[in-house]
Amino acid sequence: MSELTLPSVASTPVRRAVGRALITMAWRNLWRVPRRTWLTAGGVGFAILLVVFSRSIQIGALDTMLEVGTAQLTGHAQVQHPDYLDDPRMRSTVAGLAALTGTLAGHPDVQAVAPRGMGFGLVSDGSGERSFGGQITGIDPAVEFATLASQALPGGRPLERAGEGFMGSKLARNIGVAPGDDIIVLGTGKEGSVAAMAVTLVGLFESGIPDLDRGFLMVHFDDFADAFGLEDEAHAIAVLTGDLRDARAFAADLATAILPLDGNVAVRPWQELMPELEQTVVGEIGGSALFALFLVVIVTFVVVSTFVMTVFERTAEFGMLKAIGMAPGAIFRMVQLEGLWMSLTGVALGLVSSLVFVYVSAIEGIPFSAFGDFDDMMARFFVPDVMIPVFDSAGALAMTAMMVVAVQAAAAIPARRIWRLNPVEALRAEE
Amino acid sequence: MSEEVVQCHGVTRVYADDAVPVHALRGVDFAVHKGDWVSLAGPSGSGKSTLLHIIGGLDRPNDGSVSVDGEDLGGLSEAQLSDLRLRKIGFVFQAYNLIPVLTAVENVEFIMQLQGIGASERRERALGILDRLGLDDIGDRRPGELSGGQQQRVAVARAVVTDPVLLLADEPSANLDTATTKELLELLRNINENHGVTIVTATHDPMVMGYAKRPVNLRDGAIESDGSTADASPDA
Ligand SMILES: Nc1ncnc2c1ncn2[C@@H]1O[C@H](COP(=O)(O)OP(=O)(O)O)[C@@H](O)[C@H]1O
Ligand SMILES: [Mg+2]
Repeated sequence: MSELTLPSVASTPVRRAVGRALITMAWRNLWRVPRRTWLTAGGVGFAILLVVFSRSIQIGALDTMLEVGTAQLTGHAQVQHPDYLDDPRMRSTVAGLAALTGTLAGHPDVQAVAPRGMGFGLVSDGSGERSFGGQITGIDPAVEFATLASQALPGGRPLERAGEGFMGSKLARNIGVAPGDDIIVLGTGKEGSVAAMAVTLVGLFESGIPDLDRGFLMVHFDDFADAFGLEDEAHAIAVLTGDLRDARAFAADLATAILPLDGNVAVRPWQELMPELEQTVVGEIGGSALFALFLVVIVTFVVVSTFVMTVFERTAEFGMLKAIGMAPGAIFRMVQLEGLWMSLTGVALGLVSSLVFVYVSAIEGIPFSAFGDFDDMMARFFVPDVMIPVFDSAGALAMTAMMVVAVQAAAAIPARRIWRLNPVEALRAEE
Repeated sequence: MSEEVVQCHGVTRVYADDAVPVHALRGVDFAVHKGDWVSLAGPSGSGKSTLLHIIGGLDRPNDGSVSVDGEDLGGLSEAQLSDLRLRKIGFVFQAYNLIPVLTAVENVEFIMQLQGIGASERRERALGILDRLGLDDIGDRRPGELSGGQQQRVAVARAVVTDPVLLLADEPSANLDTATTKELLELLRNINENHGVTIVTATHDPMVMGYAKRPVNLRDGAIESDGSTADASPDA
């Protein structure tokens, strides 16, 4: 008996046509109260700007810190004996040094290769009167890239050839030696024999890192090998690559490349060599992610209140739309589209402003002194005066996604009442 | 001519939200014939709007039955009622008829958009109805740029553009002065007589009653007099 076999209004082409109409309507609705829209979209944009710009600065600073921190000594990765990282013994060496360095140098991603011999010894002045324990590192000045090895305090110079020594300023002061003085090193060789060498101190370094300044002596790799009994072997082969952020993949890649030469090696990315450095980065980034989440929550509350007002003010209009036969779901979608336009406007504001901020500030760089926060960490390294922000595209993407989702949710909260809205009452209320 | 577009049997509506229940409609029996123009009249609170809303599927009676175009509204879900309103009924309210962000043409088109009518046909029909109703010069204005009378006439255009079986208007002239009320009523007469649109208006405005073919008087939720019976006895 029922003859209501109307073609369903929810059929796909109808939905599509209505969808297009709603997109236009939503955009115009958004600008009915321009001030409110600007404020809300501005809030979204400002949150994005705050997060993206501060993280761009942070990433710039952390990049610098990592760059400087890895270049100072460790490099981006090191080839070591598998046991050496956890238990650095004199006997835990990588063998076949010449072949290994040759292969490493030939790898397309490798920019520098520096073999190192490392051990502990007693460092004394020429007369043997004053002695202090220290880490003895044999380096090859011809290929060494560590900035620690290249920056000498006035009155001295870096290591150039065999027979020379280069040490931390505090160690020199403790022993009572200065450039030009002879020093004696005593230790235990690889096979348990006594290792001894005499070198002339040619220069001092001051890194600001107490452990290095107080207990670090560099000598020529050949002297080290002679004294400690290394034969075509080293404790570490430090390497540099293009982007230190790829160090893990790079290390894994190197490991496969050198596998045929000697299975008994491990390639350690800087993250494994200096876990505390990575911890710092993870901590900083995590902190800024929390800050971002916090801002998203705040902005979401603002958006909710905006949409509470919007939906409330338009009670009669929504009642009329329901009365003339617009499905509540379609009205809800329209409000969601208003939210989408709102967030996209905010995202556009936020992204454009952060791009401008990042690129303008990258022209001159930002002085590190502007960030008290980083001072502590930076003081440990040779750090440039200014830092260049790096646009945080991952953060920008994440903020955009979070903001769009948050605004949709925020708009949905008050818009749920569209289903409950009684058109008769809604229209009557406005009479 | 005797086909009944609306049939009401024993329609009762009680508002029980307050301590004292309000009997807005007390068993109304009522029918509207195709092509008629019924004017529900009566003092404020007599149940005119309630009856109009129930006929329009915006409200449900507590008791009794209503059918529109042969369709028993009592058996329809909310979504089906919404669909029925969209396809079969045109509404003109006292105010807030138009979507503020759409122009007059777009407002008229919007209802056809909801019905899934194609863009070119939509535009053609919207312009056509505005033209026929003498509103072609205000087609690209938004409601905020229209006078109250113009807004109501655009609302009528919107309501009739889809050829509804029924046009319902609740106090359409409440916010209009005499001259614009007259314009609106001429318009309604035009679509009733020349386009065969069945109309039910609810109003206490005597001018509206004067234009309608069949005045129906309500008092305290019951029909007090019906013009159709008056027609049958010319002396009344
Ligand atoms: N939502 C409601 N809640 C309670 N009472 C209502 C409601 N709507 C209408 N009424 C009452 O129902 C009666 C009829 O109202 P209505 O149909 O609006 O009359 P009219 O349109 O003739 O002025 C009135 O007494 C009115 O107060
Ligand atoms: Mg009324």
